[in-house]
Amino acid sequence: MEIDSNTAKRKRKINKTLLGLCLAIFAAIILYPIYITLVVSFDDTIRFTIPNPPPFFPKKATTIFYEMVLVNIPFFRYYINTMLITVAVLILKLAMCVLAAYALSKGKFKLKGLYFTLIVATMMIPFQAILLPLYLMFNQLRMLDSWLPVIIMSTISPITVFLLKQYMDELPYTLREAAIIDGAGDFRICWQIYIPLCGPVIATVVILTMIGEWNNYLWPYIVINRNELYNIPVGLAKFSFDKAVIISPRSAAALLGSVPMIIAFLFFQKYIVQSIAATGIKA
Amino acid sequence: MRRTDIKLKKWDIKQEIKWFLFMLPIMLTMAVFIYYPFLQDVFKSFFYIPEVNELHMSNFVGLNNYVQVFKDPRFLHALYITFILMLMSLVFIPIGFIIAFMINNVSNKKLQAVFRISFFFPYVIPYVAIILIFQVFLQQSGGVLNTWLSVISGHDVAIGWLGDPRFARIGVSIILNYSKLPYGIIICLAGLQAIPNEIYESADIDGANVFQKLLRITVPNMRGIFTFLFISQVIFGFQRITDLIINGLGHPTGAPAGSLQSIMMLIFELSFFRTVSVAPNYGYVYAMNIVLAGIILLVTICNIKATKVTK
Repeated sequence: MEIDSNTAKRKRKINKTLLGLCLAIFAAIILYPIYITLVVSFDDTIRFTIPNPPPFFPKKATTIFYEMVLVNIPFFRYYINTMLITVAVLILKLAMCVLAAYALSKGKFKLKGLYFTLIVATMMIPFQAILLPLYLMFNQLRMLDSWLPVIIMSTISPITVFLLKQYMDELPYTLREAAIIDGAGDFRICWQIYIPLCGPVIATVVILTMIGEWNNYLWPYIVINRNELYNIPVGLAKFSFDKAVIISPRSAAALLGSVPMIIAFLFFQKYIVQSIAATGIKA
Repeated sequence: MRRTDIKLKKWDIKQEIKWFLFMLPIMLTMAVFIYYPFLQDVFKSFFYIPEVNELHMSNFVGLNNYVQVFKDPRFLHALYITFILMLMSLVFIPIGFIIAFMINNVSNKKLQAVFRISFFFPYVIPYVAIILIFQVFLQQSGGVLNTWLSVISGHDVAIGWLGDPRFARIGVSIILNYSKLPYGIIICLAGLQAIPNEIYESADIDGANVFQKLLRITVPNMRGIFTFLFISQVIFGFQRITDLIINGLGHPTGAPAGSLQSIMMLIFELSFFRTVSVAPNYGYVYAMNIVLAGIILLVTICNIKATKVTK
């Protein structure tokens, strides 16, 4: 009996080690493309091709390729642009969606169902199917070649309304009743009582918006034609179309474009993972 | 409780106006920037429109544009390419599930967290940066993948993963699945952790082995997650364009040699990259938009029906 349980124990230990080993190998495969890009971007000896076998460390370390990228394209400008767009989108999106979510969650009125249906229905209209009419409309409004179309289209986010409404549904209704007795209006109740309690869900919205804006390529590519207005995705892609035949600056540019997100990830990875798992949406 | 019900049956105009003001900002933006363009799509798809803003009531052609769309060999070919690419973009779901299953079985919590972070890490790299990284990784001469394949096989491998029309669909699918894998793992992990432990414990008492537990308990319980990933991937497949257009250096012709011209790429070309010789009238483009929206709506409805059945 005792020998039996001993062998079982050993078997379980071997299984555990095997499992860990397999996962470590998979993880290495997943991270390898990013790692090799890092190596290439720092290796002075690599220009057009990667030597056989691919190096694991730069043979002769240099930062010249990063300098090349920063001199050739206004990278910091792209950072600032992307961040400004993100902030503008966040402020407008939250302002609009909070009001709607509060009304849908705590308000009592007859047209609630209609509003809700109309918001759900926008999710059925794929953004890709209205590109042409949208473009023509913004053209008529003379808003092309600015951030306005990008910001406006990113602001419309039915998912944000649902997330906020869902969270507010859990908050007690008695808060509103008490505030009304104290003479507060619904607008004040919404902003001063319910919003401060919505911290976690607002954090989720912030994270999703950030990821969304750092991946926003198609629409900015259509409406923005001026180099100094590009966001990171469009600027990166444009750089790869125009200049980067040599693979080292291309690698450097790819990594430079990712730096802010990687930093954000290092600090907030727990929240980011939770947000993604909770909503299942890449905004 | 009952009082509020009775109250709601009457119209309280003051209340309606107040709450309407709360809904106004979002409703207005949605109306102007989603509904209005979509209605334009619908309306203009019934007309023959030779130039962008030349809409004459006398050019009403009924459903003719739609007939043209479904007769157009380019559209049908794009549909075919879209389906092929979509099928190949599903690979990350089983892989993500297997990895999530393995991570979930790591008993050491710290080690589990380390694995979770390293598998999730590529998710935060912007998609365009991932494409750039893989353009280096999948390069034809002197790309990392070809070099390793040469080392393993002993022959000189020089496959144009992104430049050769025979392989480009595989190449872009590698990139897409790579970028989606972290997402798949996170979603599957969340699903796995939602399965109550008691089920496994009772299976242990019944003497079930690992594979029996996997097939009889885990997979059936994950069906909802799989459906969700599958459906969202199908919908994404019809809208997919970013990686394909970057692979074509910003042009929607589906380079190399049109092998990547999916439906969205075709719509994009006919909308913004028109060459006079091949471009049909604008009404045709609007009709194509509606067909795309219709397909996606159909998938969504099927999804709602399917989830209702399984529940």
